[in-house]
Amino acid sequence: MSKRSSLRDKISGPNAVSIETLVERAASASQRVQQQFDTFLKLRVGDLEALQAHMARDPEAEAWRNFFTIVRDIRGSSALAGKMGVNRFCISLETLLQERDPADPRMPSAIASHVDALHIVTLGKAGDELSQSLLAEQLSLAVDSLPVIKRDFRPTV
Amino acid sequence: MLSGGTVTITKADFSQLTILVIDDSDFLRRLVLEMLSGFGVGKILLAESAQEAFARMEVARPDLIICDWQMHPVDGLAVLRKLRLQPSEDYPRIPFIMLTGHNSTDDVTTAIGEGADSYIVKPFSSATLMTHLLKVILADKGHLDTKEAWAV
Repeated sequence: MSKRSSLRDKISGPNAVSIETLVERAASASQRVQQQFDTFLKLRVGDLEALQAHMARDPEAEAWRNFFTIVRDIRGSSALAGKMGVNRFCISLETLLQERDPADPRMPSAIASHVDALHIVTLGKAGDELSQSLLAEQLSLAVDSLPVIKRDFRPTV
Repeated sequence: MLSGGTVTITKADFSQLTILVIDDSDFLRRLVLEMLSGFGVGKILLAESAQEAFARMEVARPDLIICDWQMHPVDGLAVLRKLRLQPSEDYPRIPFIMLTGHNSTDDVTTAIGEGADSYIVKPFSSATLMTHLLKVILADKGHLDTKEAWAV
């Protein structure tokens, strides 16, 4: 029986470069992507706004699942881009979607408040990280005031 | 200088490596792609879902997998379980790094317990990704490749 070569053997090529140099190259390459976060956020917030109308019509609609997926995408991306204010808005919005009753009459305005907060960020008018953190805290308090009901957006695997 | 266990490495050539990145976020895929390209990884496969990942593995077997935990509809833990619970010629024991926004001890224990070789909490830098890559690479001993063995 043959055995594949170890990964250590595979990276021991004759053209090996210092690890520090490789990390520096990767850091400058990733910085270019991070700078594109604002464009990405603008597009995704636009998607959220478009889905809101569908969600209001039917609490069980596929639009809820799509909306949730976008929020997760923004949350994960914002963390990597170091946009922690946006990240906090998304965490609060995820809690709202997953753990609060979609049929509650206050739900549409609670969702709209979160989307508005994200929209304000895209306009560059949400202030610094501290201001965004305080706003996220207010949004979380609004979420806490709603009755808890668990929802699972994941289909059975 | 970065080390994995007792072994220390100062230089590397990743041009012979194939790495599969599984993430449902376009932004994260692009970010990890840029980092790995910066490292000089020879072949980077991208998949936005578990289904696409397994389809890609049918065509090209990666040396290493980097997978996000919080994916929809099938999450990274389900991908890892499928890989580890059905070891076969199609899915040999490929080193697996889990990416996640969770940093609780329970989550780390779960991922490692299911067979992840390393675990990176977001956000992370290129230096962190390099550290975890080297940790996994230096721990790898090579494995029996049944497809290759049958061909001999």
